[in-house]
Amino acid sequence: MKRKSGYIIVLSLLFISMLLSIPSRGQEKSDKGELDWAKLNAGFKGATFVRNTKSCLECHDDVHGKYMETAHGRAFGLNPKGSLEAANCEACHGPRSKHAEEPDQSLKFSVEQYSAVCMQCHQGGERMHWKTSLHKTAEVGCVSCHTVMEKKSQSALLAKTNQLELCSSCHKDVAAKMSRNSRHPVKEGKVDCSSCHNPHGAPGSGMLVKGNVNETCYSCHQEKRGPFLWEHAPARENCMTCHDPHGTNNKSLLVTQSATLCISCHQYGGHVNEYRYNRVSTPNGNGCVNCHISVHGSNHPSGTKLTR
Amino acid sequence: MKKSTYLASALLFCAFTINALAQDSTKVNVGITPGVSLINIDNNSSKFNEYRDLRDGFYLDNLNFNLFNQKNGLFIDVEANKVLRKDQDALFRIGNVKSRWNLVVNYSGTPHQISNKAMTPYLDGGNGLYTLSALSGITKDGNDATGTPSLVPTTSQMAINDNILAKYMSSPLVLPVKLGTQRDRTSVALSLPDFKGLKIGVNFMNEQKNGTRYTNGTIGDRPPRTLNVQIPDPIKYNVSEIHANVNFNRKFYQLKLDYLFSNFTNKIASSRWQNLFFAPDAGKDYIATVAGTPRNVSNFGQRALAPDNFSNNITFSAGIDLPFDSRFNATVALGSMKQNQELLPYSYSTLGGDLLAGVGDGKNWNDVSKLPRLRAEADMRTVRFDMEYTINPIKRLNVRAYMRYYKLDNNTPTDQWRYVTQDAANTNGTVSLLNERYNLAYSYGKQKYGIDLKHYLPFWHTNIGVKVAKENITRDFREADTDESILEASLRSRPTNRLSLTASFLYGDRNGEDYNSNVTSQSYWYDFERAKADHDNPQFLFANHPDLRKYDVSDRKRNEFKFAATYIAFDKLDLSASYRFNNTDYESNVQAVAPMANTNVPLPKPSDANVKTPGQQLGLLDDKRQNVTVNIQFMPNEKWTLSLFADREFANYDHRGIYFNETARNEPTSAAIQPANQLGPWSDPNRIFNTITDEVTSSFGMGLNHEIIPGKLRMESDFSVSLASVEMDYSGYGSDATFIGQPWETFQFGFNDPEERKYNQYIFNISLEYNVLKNLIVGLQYSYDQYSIKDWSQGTESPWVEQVGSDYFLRDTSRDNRQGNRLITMGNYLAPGYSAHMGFLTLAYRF
Repeated sequence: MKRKSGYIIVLSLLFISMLLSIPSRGQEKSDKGELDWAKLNAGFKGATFVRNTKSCLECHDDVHGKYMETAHGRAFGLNPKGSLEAANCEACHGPRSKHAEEPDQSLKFSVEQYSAVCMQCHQGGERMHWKTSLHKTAEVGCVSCHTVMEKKSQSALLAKTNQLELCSSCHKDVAAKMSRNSRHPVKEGKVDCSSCHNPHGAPGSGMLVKGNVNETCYSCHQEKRGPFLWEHAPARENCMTCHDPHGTNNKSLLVTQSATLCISCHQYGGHVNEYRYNRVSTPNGNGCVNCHISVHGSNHPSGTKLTR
Repeated sequence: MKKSTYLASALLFCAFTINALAQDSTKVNVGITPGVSLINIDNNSSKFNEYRDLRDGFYLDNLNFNLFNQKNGLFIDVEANKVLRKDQDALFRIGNVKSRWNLVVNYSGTPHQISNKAMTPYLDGGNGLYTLSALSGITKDGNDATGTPSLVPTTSQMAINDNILAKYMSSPLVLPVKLGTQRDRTSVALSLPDFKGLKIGVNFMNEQKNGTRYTNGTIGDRPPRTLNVQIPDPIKYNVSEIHANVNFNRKFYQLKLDYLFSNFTNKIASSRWQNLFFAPDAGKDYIATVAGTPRNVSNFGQRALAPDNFSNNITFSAGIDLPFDSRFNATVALGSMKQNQELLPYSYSTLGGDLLAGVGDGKNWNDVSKLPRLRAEADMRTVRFDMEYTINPIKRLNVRAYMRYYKLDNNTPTDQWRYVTQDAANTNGTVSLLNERYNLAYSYGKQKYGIDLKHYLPFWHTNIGVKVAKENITRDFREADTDESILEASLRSRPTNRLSLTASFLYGDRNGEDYNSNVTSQSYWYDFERAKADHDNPQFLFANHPDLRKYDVSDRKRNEFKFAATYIAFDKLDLSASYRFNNTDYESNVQAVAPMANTNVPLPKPSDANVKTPGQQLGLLDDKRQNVTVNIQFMPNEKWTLSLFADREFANYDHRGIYFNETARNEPTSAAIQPANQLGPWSDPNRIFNTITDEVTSSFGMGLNHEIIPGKLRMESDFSVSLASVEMDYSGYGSDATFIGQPWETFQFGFNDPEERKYNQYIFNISLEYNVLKNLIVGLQYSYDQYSIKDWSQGTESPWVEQVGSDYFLRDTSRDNRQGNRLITMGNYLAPGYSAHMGFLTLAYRF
């Protein structure tokens, strides 16, 4: 096993060395979705690309330093692919010949216009569903969450230092749940909002990364995936039947205290649906789960009641 | 592998790197932030470091290295936080801006502390085995008429046993055990250069999760004879995943193919724990007893832990821009989840064997050949299909239509299984016939389609929207399929540049079609002749009470109203407020029914066939929630930033249940169960209880940042409070001392309003950062963190639970003379409250 991992490390190092040796390919033609700028904003009618970054810096030098530390600044500056990227500042701000002649605020973009600009290059991959997404429908745009001109976060050019701070600016009620008694380690930075949600849009409700609740939960809770010999049907259908993943006042992210939750669905008689039936277990500790331990499903031949 | 080979590879790697760097101008930034921390906490509570690792002493808060060659585009980023602590993160990223590839290696450690004060007499023998250096020494009580010792003692013997157990759980045999887990996740992601619109990425992830949680180990017959102990739960998981994706992007269309393979391995397949209460009978691996209900009880309990499993998922997505500014997206995903663990036997011990003449097969209950199959063969397949289309057909109108389909097929074979109740059998070797079960293959399919219309009005940036959707879910072996119609109306407006408003209202009406409370009869396989005379016959009488409606498949009406306003008072002041109201009503028009009207099960009193249920819906009845949030952001100038935040949520939900005797299903009018101190019949409305739970959670926060000397001295402070209270109002059967004639604290079915549960947390931080030199920043921080908890369900003392000699041995206050009334614990209040003062001194140096 050690030998195997050793070979993997060596091969990886060699591969990286190879990649380092790949020469840059210089300017290439790229089939990006270039905008019809005049259609985006009538103020661009008749304008042409200046294609001279220095003329922009005559007035906007204050943003240049921080911009050059970003992925855009570096890529457009060093090796732009295609005529769009080669336009550098104008790749995003549009043809600025008129602005260079008479600088004013008339070509300021709306949030939606900025999004159209970004989609010239970024429509694919994780952003494929942007145009049909809940965020776009709610008139949130790329610049609502990202600052292209400055690197404020470790990755993804977020407008705030981290995702929780960013998403909290709109989803305050959800952020408040992150401080509850039972929660995921979001405040500690171990789980991000994007661990479960794709803010750029995803099919299914809640813009979940895997399209539905359970498969999203299984990304981290693989031990709950099973499948099991004895299934707990409501748990298999939807983890949120019992849990609120944003945070709750009850143990184990449960929507309510354990015994109360179970009696919502189990009224078999005897001890099954009673808060108190002559034992210490039901109203204490994990409630019904004090005995019915394998509540997510059991792989024991006598696990039909999830006690094994 | 030889160290020299590693060294040679590393040197080769460095040679390439240095070569890449040597001739060109390279920008290098290095930063290191060491620090010293002082923590003063009044209580060694695990909650303090639940998901972090704060300790006294020296630490390396941050280490970073950034290299960028401005000529050839090579970049290397290394960043590590909380170095060598359990919650450390490390990132290594290398790539080239010009050739557009990058490789990212990421490591993250996540501790999860559960308890620092747990105690247990169980010794970890490794591989899930928990043994005891000595048993508790309690005795069975007396002999019955046949001369066999009884597992159910008399009241006086139980008092003696309680003292023995109290001494046992206070003895040096009980030792500390650390409860908590550590997740270590490493991922490597490679993104290759785009080639004519084609981009490939590969990600490999490995995660190890190790540690110990707590769980329960039950042995013996069902309550109240269950022998229940809280025991350690070993965690030794390994997950490996490989994720590959291919993206193809063109101007008007994009394609994406994703493949994920995920493999979960549990290095410990089962947990075995020694019976703490009784030694096995001589020459046997079980304890034989005769009591009112005779049982053979195993000397060890055994449970299957999370089985090894793996899954595959392939997803194809396509998006295309179409005329009239429209777009069509489609996604198809196929998945599978499989698990084929070798199965444990029905019981750890022989339990005397399945020996009853004419019934048993003569085999021992720990013989795997008694099983209908030796492996789980669990297999599920999923199919997901999504389509979305959006178009602006005319000016100021947007239409979005979608369809979603999801199917989960369960291909796990169904077999007939016996049921050995928690490693216990009857003394004649038989086990419960009433729990002879099929492992049903639950499957379901979900379909949702909808259309959203949005009309933009020509004033105030206003739009109004209407959404209509329908979702239906079909299920195998569940009480009902469901069909929901959803209607939503929305309004967005910006009357001025400074004020924006949004509001929406959603109405959902779900119908649990033809709710069948007898669906669970399909899960039993005992035949009618064997069970027809049995009182407790869930297959041919009923299982769950017929008035129950399971809320995930029942009728449901929901109303959700949201309102939000944002006001930018002037450039420096933002105010926002929002209000949300949810009301979910599970009213399902339950009517009284006579569940035994058509039964063939002989009834002691034939007239009981006409006895009806109370006709009051049982289960979750409704759920109401309201949430109010206010946020203020004020930046009077570049030096000051003030933010204030408040959130309050009110939740109220109602449940209803009924006490009834499950062994008297076929005789609801039996005189034996009528008295108030008995469980009662399923038909008696006086056995009904209600719980109304109110949760109020309030969060407040304030942040203040000040540039005392701009660019030189900066102050940041924040204060946050989270206050939660949960109150349950319990009424009905068991709560009225007058009704039941004895104090409800000691009545075995007595229950009443528990005390309020409270969870409060206060956190205050203040820090100063001073730029001593251009590249040296000194930081000084003080933090205060207080957490308090009051939770009756975690406490060792409540009106119905009392400790006996210590936190580690609890019993019900009825002090019934059966062992199921007792619980050996690892210490409740597993994470008590704390109050902590913390000081940090850091030096951030940039090269």
